[in-house]
Amino acid sequence: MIGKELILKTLRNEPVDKVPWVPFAGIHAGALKGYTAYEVLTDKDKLVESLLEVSKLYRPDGMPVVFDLQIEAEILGCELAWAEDAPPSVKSHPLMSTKEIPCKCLLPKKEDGRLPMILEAMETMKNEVGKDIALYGLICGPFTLASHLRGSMIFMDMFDDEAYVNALLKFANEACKNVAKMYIEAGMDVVAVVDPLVSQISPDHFEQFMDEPFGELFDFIRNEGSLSSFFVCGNATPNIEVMCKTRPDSISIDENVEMKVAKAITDQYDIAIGGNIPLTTVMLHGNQQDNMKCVIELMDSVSHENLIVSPGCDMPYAVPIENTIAVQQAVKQAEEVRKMIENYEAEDDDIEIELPNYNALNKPLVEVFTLDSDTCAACTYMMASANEAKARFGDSIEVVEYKYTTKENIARCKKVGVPNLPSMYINGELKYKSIIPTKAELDNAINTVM
Amino acid sequence: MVQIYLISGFLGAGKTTLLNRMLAEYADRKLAVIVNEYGDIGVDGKLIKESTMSIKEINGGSIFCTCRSDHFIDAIKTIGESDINTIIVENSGLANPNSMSKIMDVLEILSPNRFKYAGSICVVDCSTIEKVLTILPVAKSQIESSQIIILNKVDLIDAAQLQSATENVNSINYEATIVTASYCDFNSIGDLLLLDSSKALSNRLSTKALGISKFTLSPNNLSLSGLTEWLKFAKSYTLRIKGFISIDNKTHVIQSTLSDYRIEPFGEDVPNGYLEIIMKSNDLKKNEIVSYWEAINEKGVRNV
Repeated sequence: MIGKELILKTLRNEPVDKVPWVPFAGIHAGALKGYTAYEVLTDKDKLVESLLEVSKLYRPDGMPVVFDLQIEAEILGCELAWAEDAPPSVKSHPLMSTKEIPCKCLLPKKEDGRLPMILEAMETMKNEVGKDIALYGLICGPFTLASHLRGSMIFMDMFDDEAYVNALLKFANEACKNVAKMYIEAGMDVVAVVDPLVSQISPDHFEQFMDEPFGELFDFIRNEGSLSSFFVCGNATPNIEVMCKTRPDSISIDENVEMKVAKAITDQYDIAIGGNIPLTTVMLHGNQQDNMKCVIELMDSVSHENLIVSPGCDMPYAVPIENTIAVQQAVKQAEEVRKMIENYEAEDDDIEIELPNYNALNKPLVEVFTLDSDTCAACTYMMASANEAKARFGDSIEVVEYKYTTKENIARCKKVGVPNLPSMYINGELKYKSIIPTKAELDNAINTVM
Repeated sequence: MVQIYLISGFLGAGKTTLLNRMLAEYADRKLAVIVNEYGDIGVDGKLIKESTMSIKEINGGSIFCTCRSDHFIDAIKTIGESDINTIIVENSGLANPNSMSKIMDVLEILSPNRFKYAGSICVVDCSTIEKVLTILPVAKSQIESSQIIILNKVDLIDAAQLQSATENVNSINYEATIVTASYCDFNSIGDLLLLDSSKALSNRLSTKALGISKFTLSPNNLSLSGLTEWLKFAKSYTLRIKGFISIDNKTHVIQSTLSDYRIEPFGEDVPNGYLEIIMKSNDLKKNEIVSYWEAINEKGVRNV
């Protein structure tokens, strides 16, 4: 099955032949092309360029087009604080000192705020990759949106003025529906309702205040012909069941919720569940082995039907590319990666690795260390780059691949001190780490040592 | 080692006010401040001395993200590369101090033996704490995970409300030191950085679950004198007793803490009386309390 089919079938509770994978590469997509968070969230061409790189390197089955919970808030009058390497945050709340309900004329329209840019990017991505990859349009959920407008006072309002909270949520939900409809018309296969604040309230308060707006929203998305997902951040464990009752097609959780516990609940409701690779401890600061191991353990902990593997939330800007590559490899080639981890963690066998004498080579030696160039996208590109150089230089250079799939090659990696995979060495020196060299760059590097 | 202190508490409790007081109090220390959200009151720039202090502002809005700690970790790591030895973090109003254990694990990998989590100081707005606890489960975690709890804004409440707030906080965290204050002004502010760090990462939830016993007793034809004698005995071994008992066909509300007990008529009828008891786990003492209760009642025990 192609990736898009995996996602659509999983969300429809139909059987699939492998677990799908959805990297939440929001601002991180920009990092792949050297664009700041601001650039990738405001410039359509840079956004599309970055997203195409995500599709090429990470081979997703599904992917978001934009991950920014402040789009609607900005249109409704919230001021934003921008950062180079993080999504913007809301710094002013127009309803902080007043209990008004905004006028319906302020509800988002296609020409408002950054929507024109986003809708154009969605249509472009639909044309470019939409046949093979399920595209997610992310909207800010009504509770978080209401809190953008009212600030933290909304929590006191839940105690002091329930009617106002209900009215504000109703308004916010109208905004959510407007934007959801736009995204569906722009070709999004899945509308994800992202509402971090849901984890902050009790199940009782969720039922009291959130049941109706969220239920209405997911029914709306369904009636518009799209699939849906309910994204939540934080320890939402107590609320998983009440979230299921609002009838999304899937739920996405972060590392604060145990997948096994949550899936036991979502399975009862025939709702798919996605998640929940830790963002900071594993994806950002772990190494490739940590990421592979995390994914294997995650997949081993639950049954594979109704499951999507993804990061817990929007990936940090600076997640090393090789870590995401490792995750993708673990999802797509689980048994092979399981063996890699076993070999990596095994007691050091008496494997004698003889390194070439780099000072006495007859010709330039290009060594490419890969996870597996047959199955890992980035590894495929790195190896292709080396093979194309071989075709150009012929017998005047030598090219060797060491796949991480054998004990001997793992031992070689350790001995050489390869930092991550894929990596390319020329005459024993690390030249390219994860980033694929251009033809000119590689030719130049080879000629330098000729 | 660089000591890291958290100031926790819901928005508006007085975290920034406390922070400003601490900056004034610790003017002679090399410290850094990490500010996690905008509030009405900003950190007093006059208190920040360029040579000895630095301030970093991250996640500068009201959106929080409990799963994203990368910028926070980066800020701490950067500070750790200087000669500053104390970091005070003004936490987001919705942040859970329990997440510090994961953050410290990452910091230990990035900068071994450089940082130590000293603990959390929780600022509580006495006038709204009961409301906040009703709505926000994280507020309970903030109290639970803190070594010092400042019951702030006492000027806005009366003595009965203060006692109620104190009991409420005490029942959540019986080990914390509790101080009362207005505008976070209190005498022992100079001792704030002497937190008992051995308890900082003790995983308060499991400690609480293992160390606290909670059970209910129900009455059966209980007399006032019998109840009074039992309360005098039980209050010394319990953290809190609270409930409703019918005496002489009138419902009475019963409340007891370590130091005192009260039996007062209650304006409404509560048909099935009960007492809820919270105490430090001690099976022997619990058995004595229950046996004494049974002696003054007829088959009056349930949910033990």
